[in-house]
Amino acid sequence: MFNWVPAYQAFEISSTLITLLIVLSVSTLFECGIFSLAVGGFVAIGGYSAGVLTTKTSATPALGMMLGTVLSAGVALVLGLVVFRLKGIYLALGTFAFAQLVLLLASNWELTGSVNGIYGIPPGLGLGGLVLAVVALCIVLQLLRASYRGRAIRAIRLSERTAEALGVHVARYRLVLFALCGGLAGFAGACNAQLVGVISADQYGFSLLVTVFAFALVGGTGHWLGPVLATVFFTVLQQVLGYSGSQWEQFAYGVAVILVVALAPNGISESTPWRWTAARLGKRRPARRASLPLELHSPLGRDT
Amino acid sequence: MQQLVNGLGLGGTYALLGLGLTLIWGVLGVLTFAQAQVMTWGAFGSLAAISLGAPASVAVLCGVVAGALVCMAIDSVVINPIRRRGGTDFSFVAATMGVAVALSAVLQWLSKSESHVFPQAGFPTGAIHLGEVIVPTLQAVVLLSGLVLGGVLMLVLRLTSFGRQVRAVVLSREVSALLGINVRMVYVLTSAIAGAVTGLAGVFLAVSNANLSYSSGDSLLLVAFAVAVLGGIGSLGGALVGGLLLGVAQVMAVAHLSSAFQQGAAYIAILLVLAVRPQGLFGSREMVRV
Repeated sequence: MFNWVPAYQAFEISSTLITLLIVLSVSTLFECGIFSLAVGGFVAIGGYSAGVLTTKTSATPALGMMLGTVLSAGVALVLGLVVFRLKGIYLALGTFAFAQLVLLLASNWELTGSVNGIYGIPPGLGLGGLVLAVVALCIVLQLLRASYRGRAIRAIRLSERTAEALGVHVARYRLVLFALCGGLAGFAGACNAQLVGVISADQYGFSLLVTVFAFALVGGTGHWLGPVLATVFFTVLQQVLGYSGSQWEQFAYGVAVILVVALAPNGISESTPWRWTAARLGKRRPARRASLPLELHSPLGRDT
Repeated sequence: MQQLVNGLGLGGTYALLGLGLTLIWGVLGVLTFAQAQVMTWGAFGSLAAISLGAPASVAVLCGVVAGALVCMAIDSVVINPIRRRGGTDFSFVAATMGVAVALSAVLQWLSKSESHVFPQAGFPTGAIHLGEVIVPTLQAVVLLSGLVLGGVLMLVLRLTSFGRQVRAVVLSREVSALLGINVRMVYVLTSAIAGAVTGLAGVFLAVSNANLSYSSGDSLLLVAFAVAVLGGIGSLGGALVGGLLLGVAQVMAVAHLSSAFQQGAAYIAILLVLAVRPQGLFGSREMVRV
């Protein structure tokens, strides 16, 4: 259905959509107050399992994608069991060490092509499939948002103890959400590997983490639309300014993260100008969220 | 025995790195991801001095000052505004990640993405033979300076007026401010000390590698975390022991298992310590800082 899109544009849009999937997996975790730095590891697991399966065996790309998703989700589940015993900053540290360990393994294991990585991965989902996946994800997130479970997830971020007291099984919610978001990141990784055809360990490192965090933090956790708009905005900006790929791209993301954290800790979608505009446009239904104080929307969670 | 000496030599640099990180973590309460860049900037500061014709001792000093300046700048420009707006632990993590990437990009631009030769002339080279064991002089100097610096810092914190101010700020920022302690000054000075120690580590690293590029320090971020976690957050003595321990463990693992463990040792140490004893080897239960 998207055959009319020229090849180059189709590739660019596809890779933006894949980034969007990764960003949403991170921002959904933020919504639950989980500050995990493991996303690069899950994307790598997804990419590598799809790559290994489809290049070493005669499995179809769809099968590779499924393996990537399931394996990432499984690893996330196990990792969650271990690291959720840690609190606060130690959780960030543990997940960061995990992500680095995955990359180390990938760049030393023969099966994953050690430092050379894997090339010649057959293409999988086209642009149409990716659009479908993103739209489906957005619908799921919107349904989740309006449901009991979505409110429970947000309640956990606002106050774990209160949520627990109100009957939310905090540990289970966090674990399941972590596994699902890990699976989502793995799916995105598999799609990326199949789109580009070549993967190596260094593409999943620190710069991916900062890029994704820039999008997710700028977007904020008020609504899933925030990260979506932030990702699209940054990608368009990068195309227009033509700084893609240079060190200034990374510089811009780094500065964006600092500015957002320092000036609008709640992300653009919860910042005052946005609220003001939204209120004028009459798009908000304030009644439903009136009980939540503004500062509690910080994607970076609460210390207490 | 030779492996042990090699490990201790490596551990000296790690201990310096850990000291810087654990100071910032303990006193400022910030888990900083920019420490590897502070180190690389320090090393480049000293390289710039050498290329201007400065002798080795001045070059080391320039590296130390560069590290201290960068660290103070991070504290004043990034960390302090966020603290004033009531940032959480995580906002500091996110912000310092941004700082790390930005600093790295600037350095990549300044160094034109090239790898530079770091001249070893004037630095202690060669080796001392102790029976069958060969002790490289440079490594011995690194180890010694790590131990001495760590010891001096511990004494300063325990005995001097400044040290008492730091410990008071760690206990309670608000009460310290009420008692007339200049909290801002304590933070700035602590950043400067941490940056200086880290810059020194960077210089030592560059000298022993004889080579320097904008990404030289990147892989050592995890090492610094591992040392700090291993020793217990905010414990200076712990950082010293943790650094030496990690250095020895790494060398032993590479010698007896596989070269892949060179970095793996750090990651495994972090995960293991966090899983088994999150307060580290020397940290107290309550995570009291410093």
